[in-house]
Formats: sequence, structure tokens, C-alpha cells
Amino acid sequence: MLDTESTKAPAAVTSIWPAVVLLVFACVMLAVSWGYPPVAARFPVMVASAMIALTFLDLWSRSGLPGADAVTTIGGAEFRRREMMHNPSFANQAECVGWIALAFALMATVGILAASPIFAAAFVRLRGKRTLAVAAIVGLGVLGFQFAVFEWALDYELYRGLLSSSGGVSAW
Amino acid sequence: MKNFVATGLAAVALMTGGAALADFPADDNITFVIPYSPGGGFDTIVRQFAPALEEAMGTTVVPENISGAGGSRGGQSVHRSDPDGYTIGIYNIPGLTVNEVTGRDQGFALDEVTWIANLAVARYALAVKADSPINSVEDLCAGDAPVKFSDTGATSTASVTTRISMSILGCDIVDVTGYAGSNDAMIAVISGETDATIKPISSLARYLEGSGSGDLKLILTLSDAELVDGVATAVDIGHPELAKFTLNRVIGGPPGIPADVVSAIEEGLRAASDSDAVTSWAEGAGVDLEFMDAAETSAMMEDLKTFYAQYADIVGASQ
Amino acid sequence: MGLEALIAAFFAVLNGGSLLYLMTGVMLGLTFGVIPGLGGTTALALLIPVTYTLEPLDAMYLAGGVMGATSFGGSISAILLNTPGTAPNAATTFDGYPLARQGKAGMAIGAAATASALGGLIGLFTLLLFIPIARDVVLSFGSSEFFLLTILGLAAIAVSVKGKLLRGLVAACIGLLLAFTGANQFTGDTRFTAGIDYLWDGIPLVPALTGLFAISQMIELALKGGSVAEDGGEVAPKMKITGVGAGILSVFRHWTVLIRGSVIGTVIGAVPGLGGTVAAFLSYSSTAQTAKDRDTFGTGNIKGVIAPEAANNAKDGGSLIPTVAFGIPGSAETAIFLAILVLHGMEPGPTILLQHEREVYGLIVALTVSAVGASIIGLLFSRVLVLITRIDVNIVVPVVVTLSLTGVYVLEGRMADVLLSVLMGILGYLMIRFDYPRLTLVIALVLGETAERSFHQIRLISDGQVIEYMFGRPISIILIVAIVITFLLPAMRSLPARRRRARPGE
Repeated sequence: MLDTESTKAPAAVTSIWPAVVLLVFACVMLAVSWGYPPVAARFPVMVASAMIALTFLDLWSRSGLPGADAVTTIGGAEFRRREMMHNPSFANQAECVGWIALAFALMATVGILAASPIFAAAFVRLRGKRTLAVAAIVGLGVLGFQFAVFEWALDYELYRGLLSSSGGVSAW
Repeated sequence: MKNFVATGLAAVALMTGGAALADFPADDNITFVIPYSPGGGFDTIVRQFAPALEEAMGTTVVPENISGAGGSRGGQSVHRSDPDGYTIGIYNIPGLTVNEVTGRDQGFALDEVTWIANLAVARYALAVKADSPINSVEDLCAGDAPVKFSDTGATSTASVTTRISMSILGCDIVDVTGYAGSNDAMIAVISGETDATIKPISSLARYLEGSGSGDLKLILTLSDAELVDGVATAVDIGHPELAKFTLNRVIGGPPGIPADVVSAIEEGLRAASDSDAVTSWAEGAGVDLEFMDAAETSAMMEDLKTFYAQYADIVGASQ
Repeated sequence: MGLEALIAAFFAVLNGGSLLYLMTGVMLGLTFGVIPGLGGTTALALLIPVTYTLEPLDAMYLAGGVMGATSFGGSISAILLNTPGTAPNAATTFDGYPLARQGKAGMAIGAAATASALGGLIGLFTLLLFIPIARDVVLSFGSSEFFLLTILGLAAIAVSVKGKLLRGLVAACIGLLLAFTGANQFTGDTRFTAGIDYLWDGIPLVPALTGLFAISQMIELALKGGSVAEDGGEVAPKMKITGVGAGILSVFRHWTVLIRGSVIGTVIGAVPGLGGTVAAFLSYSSTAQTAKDRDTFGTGNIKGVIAPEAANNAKDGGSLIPTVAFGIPGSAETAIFLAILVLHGMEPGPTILLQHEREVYGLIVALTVSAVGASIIGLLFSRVLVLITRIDVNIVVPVVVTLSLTGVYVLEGRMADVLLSVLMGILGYLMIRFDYPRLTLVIALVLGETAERSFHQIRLISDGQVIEYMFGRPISIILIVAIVITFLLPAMRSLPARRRRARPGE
């Protein structure tokens, strides 16, 4: 296995980049908020400003500059008790996010009822490396549940996909 | 971009929809689009009308909730569909009219909608706390401080009605918007957070003596005729134009529905509106049925457009 | 008067047909609760057209069965898969999942079942006590109290994220900014919509929460591989369903936690717009803050399961307080309950208890039976359910992803909701990866709009004298004190805590 597991937070997590991205995001939100009428702008400006200050501290605590340790301790910015203790490779992460995007893309094009079993079976077969039989059982199980609960028992028409419904994306 | 697509589709629909459908309705289902989630006023009236309409038209009527974007998503969906009479929708008027006047892009133009009928009209009234010493609009506006009203959204029809009508009356007000629902806005008057509220009479009825809990009392109805015993009307206080403020449940369809199809649906809705099932429901639920045919409805839409356009500056103003 | 109606309603339920509707509701509620993305609101929304053809009372039994069962159903997935079945179960994952990893899933489920059932009963009992004064309760909660409750919720965020205060606050800011998206109820201005129609109504909670909790967790799980019960290729101690009895007993041992959770749940439930996620979170954080063994919270402390689950079920009783007083909803579920009444030609209003006593008490009884029934059924099935944790994640992940995205779709029938859910899932995964707490974002997202709106309302109502206005209201003063205590408590203890942390071996 390429993925390593360790209690120490991986460098990607503790690097300055997450804080930089959030700092930029906060600045953009502040700039946008500024343009609203006074009452509508009040809360967004307040929150975006607070966020700039907080992300700046976050950045500082990650920077290794003088005072960073103090900021980390006082601000509670240590990386203890992380939710995700394993450290998958970038390719692996991109693949998993890609699978989720694929699930959506399939649902959007061929509809939920068709996409669900295809996605489930494909995931089990290709990512899970299980036998075709297992993949087929999972796919059929999902299809059965979707059909029985929504289409049959509740008489609810699941989305049929862009290919076979009118209105296109604007009907979403 | 989106607008371009919508207009394009509408144009195509106009071109292809010309073919008259003499045998309407055939076996197809009629889809009745409700642009809000189940359980609200628009949803309820459609679901009450649907069985009677089915009987009158001899075909299945399927209510479909397409909620979102303050009702414009459902309206867009109707607008995009084929103008064959098999897709119709219910419209929130004057809510949509007001949106158009203030320049909000709803993805479709009300001018293009094929208006079919008006089912119900709700009239507004001004209510204050039942034990309050205030008994007329004059009393209400006599104080030095601005009068506080409560409302849901700043763009809601009730809030728009409140701001325009009180400005016509020359009364200095603060409209406290943001209450979660119209009930919450009325409860704010009961709890004393605000002084008064303008709401449809059928909603206020729950809080009035006799028909409800007796927490509120009416001091004005925005109507020509006396609707509640002993309560002044718009005419009584010398401002008959206030009777223009109503809340309508209007039925329409995509642009370009052939005239014979429109009149077939119109007749179906008229028969449904007169049916026992619908009239007895309306009585129990306090809904004022007021049927208008396609021509009357189109005229009313034009009328409302010019009426609200005069007050564009008040309607558009934010707090 | 109320008692007789209650007893009558109770015996009416025991009639064969009614019980069938009720049990159907319970089974449906449990199923929808267990599956992430499908919750009570979705189940009820889907049932509206179905109930149209039923007798009003049977519709109430069905609805009550669903409402009472979903939250316990959701705790099962929270404990076994670290994925809350419904958003309010999010706080249950903190200690429920670590317990499951230690092989104590049975104990956690036993405690969750008992806390759910008892919390539900306490909530409904409180409701019955409050019915005579429900009007005054609702009238005394105005904009000022709403605002202070949201601040209390946000304050609890600040003090409850252990070791990630800074990143927790950053996440809260993101949540608030998301909450401000869309047409502002108060001013009518639209913000952060980038011209997208969909965002006009704001960020819808169910799709966002499903993405943040369920989809993101599935990405993480897929990356981890193996099965939930396995730990990096190494099989963890077998997850046997043992200790169910110990779990049940633990609720009685920690009865103060149960009571506190139920009270918090009832109060938060009574406030429209706050909901179960906030109730469960506040209950969890207040328990974790005041416990002597607070350092073990987050590592599998049974009290961390009892507190949120009690609150989560008690909130149903609380959410009926505004309903019985004025016929207004206290939660998304009660809103649908009222919608069902409207569909049956009834006009819920302040006289709801006089006019529709049968339906209201029918619902209360159904909720009571459901809260207990769901827990019993859940416990019976727990042996089977726990096997989920042994299944290859490569099977669990695609099933949960497809079902939860379907659930998001069916709530409103909008594909845009599904897209939002996927995007929030990716955001949620990045938050897990880079160690930003998701729950603080969610709490801020839930509270943001109410906080802003009610602040502006008080400003107008009080003629700009916001502080004076608040101090003139007794409940506001109590809430202000609670907020101050929330902030001071950790500070008062920070010294001994820091000393402990200095010890090696953490």
C-alpha cells in the first residue's frame, strides 16, 4: 500500500495552502459584500472581516514565523485528534472525488433510476475489484430499492435524465 | 444566457403551437404545475380543484409541485412546455407582477403567459391587537412615532401592500420584515412586538373574535364593500384605490395556447369552481372563490401592471 | 379535558387499522432515518400525496410514526458508519463511532435507543404540561430571544471544538456566509447568488447537510478501504453486539445527562428555525463542557451518545408547543403535519386544540408510541444492522452515495439540489482532509439567517435601543446569562486543563 498511516499530520494538511485559499476566499467575499446596500451588507462584511482575521491567524500558526507556536497554542490550532488519520495519495483522492462526480454525471444524463445500478455496479467492480456477480447483485439491489420505494410504493417519478426529459439544465 | 434560451424556446413553442387541437382534451393527462411546496395555499386550491376539473374535462389532472426561486421556477417550467393545454400552472398574482415591476428577472415574461382563469381573490385587512385603544386608521397614525407593522419577506405581497397603502394614506410606518410566516407576523402583533399588520382577511380570521381566538381586531378592510360588520372599508376612509390590493390565484399556460383549447380549460375550471366539492371546501377553509374567465383575467393582469408600476419606487425600496 | 382526549386517542390507536398505519410509519421512519440523505422531512414530504386519500387521523398516525422513528434510525448509521443518518445525529458520531471502533457498538446503540425513547417521552410529557400555558410560552419568545438563542448556539461552537478552535471558527465563518446567500428576507436584497436562480432561496439545508455529512464521509471511507470495522488492514476487535444491556443501563446511570438533553431538546425544538441539529449539538457541548471526565469526550464516552440522542427526540415534543398554541410549525416536520391538516380541509390556527383536538392528540400519541416502538425494533434488528460494519466499504460507499443523492432529489424534485449536495460533499471531504470541523460550519449555516434577521428586527422594534430592549425581557436576561457562562466556563478551567495537557503520553 502506498498510503501511509501515521498519527502525525501529513505535510499537505499542515502546509500554509489551506489557509491561503481560505484567506483569498474571505477577501473575495468581503469585496462582494461591500457592494450591497448598507443593511444587507452589515452582517456579511462583519463575518468576512472576522474570517480574514481568523484565516490570517491560521496562516500565521502554520508559517513557522516568530510567534507561530504561541498562536497555535492560544488559538487551539494543533492538529491533534484529527478525523482522518490515514494519508491517501493525491491520485487516490482525485479518483474518489471523480467517482462521486461520475455518480452525479450519470444521474444527470441517463436519470436516477438507470444511473444508480450502473454506478453501484461499476464502483464495486472497478474500484472495489470484486467479481462481476457481486457487482451485479449490488446494482440490482440498489435498483430494486429505488424502484420499490420511490417509483412503486410512493408513486414518485425519479429524474429521467437530460437525454429523455425536456427543459434541459434549466429544468433542474 | 438563460434568458436567451428561455426566449428561444418560447419562440419555438409559438411557432409549433399553432396547430389547433380540435379534440382537446384527448387521452393525455393534464399536468397542473404548482410553483410551491405541498401544503401551502396554492397547493391546496389546486389539489381541491383537481378532482372536480378531472370530472368536468374527462381526463386525468396531475398536480405537480415545482418549487423554488420564489415561484419563478415553476412558472418557467410551464412557460417552456408545449402550448397544447396539457400543461397549465397556478400563478401568484400580484406577487409576480410586483417582481416584474421591480425588475427582478423571473426567467419568463408575464405578458407572454396565456391567461386562462382566475379562481380566487383574497382581500386584505388591517388588524391591531384586540384590547388596543386604537379603533381606526386615524388613531393608528395619530402618534408621533412611526407605526410598526410586521411582515414576512420584504418582497412579499403583504409587505408591498402595507408599504404602498400606508404611503397613500400618508401614514409614517416601519415595516418590520423577516418573520418566518404570516402567522408569525400576526403573532408579533399579539405579543406587542409590532403595532399592526395587513394580511388577507382569511388568514386574520383565525385570530378574530367569533371566527377564531379573539386576539386581534380589524380596523380597516381594503375593499369597496363592507366585508366585516362594522369595519371601515377603503371607500369609507376616502381612498377607494386601496381596494386594488388583492391576492389572486390565477391559472395560466405557456405562450400561444390555441383559443379553443383555452376556452375548453376555462369551462372545465368554471364547472369545477361551481362544483359542490369545491364550494363546500372553500366555505370551510375561508377561501373566497371568484371566477374570472380568460378575457377578464388578461384585463386584470394589464390593470395590475399599470397599478403597481406607479409605485415602483416604494416597492423597490429596501430598508 | 386534555387528559381525557389523550386517553381516548391512546385507545383509538390500539384499534387494528390505526396501529397498522402507525407501525408502517415507524418502519418507514427507521428506514429513512438509517439511510443518510433520507430523513424525516423527506419521508413526510413524500407521504403528503399518499395521506391525501387517508382519513385525517390515520394520516396523523402515519406521520407520527415517521417523525418519532427517524432520529433513532439516524443514530444507528451515525454510530456504525460515522455518517449521521439524519443531520441531527451528527453530534452522535463524535462518541458513538469511537465506541463502535472499540467493539462497543451494541452498548452505543443500546444507549442511543434508550436515550431516544426516554428523551421522546420526556419531550412529550413536557409538551402535555405546557399545553395550558403554550400560548404564553410562544408569546414570550420574540425576536430578542430568537437572536440570543442563535448567539448561544454560536458561542457553544466557539468553546466546544477541542484543539481546533481556530479552524472551527473559520469553518463557522464559511457557514455564516453560506447562510447569508440568497434573497434576504429582511431587506429583499439578494446576496452571493452570482446570478443563479437556484440560489435565490438560499442554500437549502437538507442537500447541503447530506453533502457535508454523508457524501464527504463516503469519500473518506472509500479512501480508507477495507471495512468500517477494519483499521488500516488490521481487523479491529470484533464488533459484536454485546453490551446492549450495559448501554440501556448507562442511560439510567447518567440520568442527569438524559434530563438535561431532553430539556435542551424541548426548548430548542419549540423555537422555529433552530431544529434538531442545533438541539443535539447544544446538548452534546453542554454535557461535554460540564462533565468531570470531559477529556474523554470524542474518544468514546457513552454520555456523548446519550446527550444528543435525548435532545434529538425531545425536540419533537417541543416543536409541537407553537403548534398547539397557534397552529404554527416549530420544525420542518411539524410544518408538514400542518400541511396535511390543510390538505384535509382543516384550517390550523390558534384554535387548533379546540377544533382539531382529535388530530393533535392522535399525533402526540403516535409520536409517543413511535419513540418507544422504534427503539425496541431498532434493538431487535441491531444484531443484523451491525453487520454493515463488516461489509467491504467498496459496497457500502456506492449504495449510500446513490441512495442519499436520490433522497436529496425526491425532497423537492430538483436536480440542482443533487449537484449542490455533491459540491458540499467535496467541500466536506476537504474539511475532513484538512481538519476543519464540519459541524461548526453546519451549526453556523443553520443559525446564520435567523441571527441576522432577528437582529435587524430587534433593531426596528426597539427603535435602535437593542441592549435596553433585551434587558427588559426576562427570558432574554436568562439567555444572556447562559451565553456569558458558556464563554466563562472554559476560561475558568483553562489552568488545570493546560497542566494536564503538559503531561506526556497524550
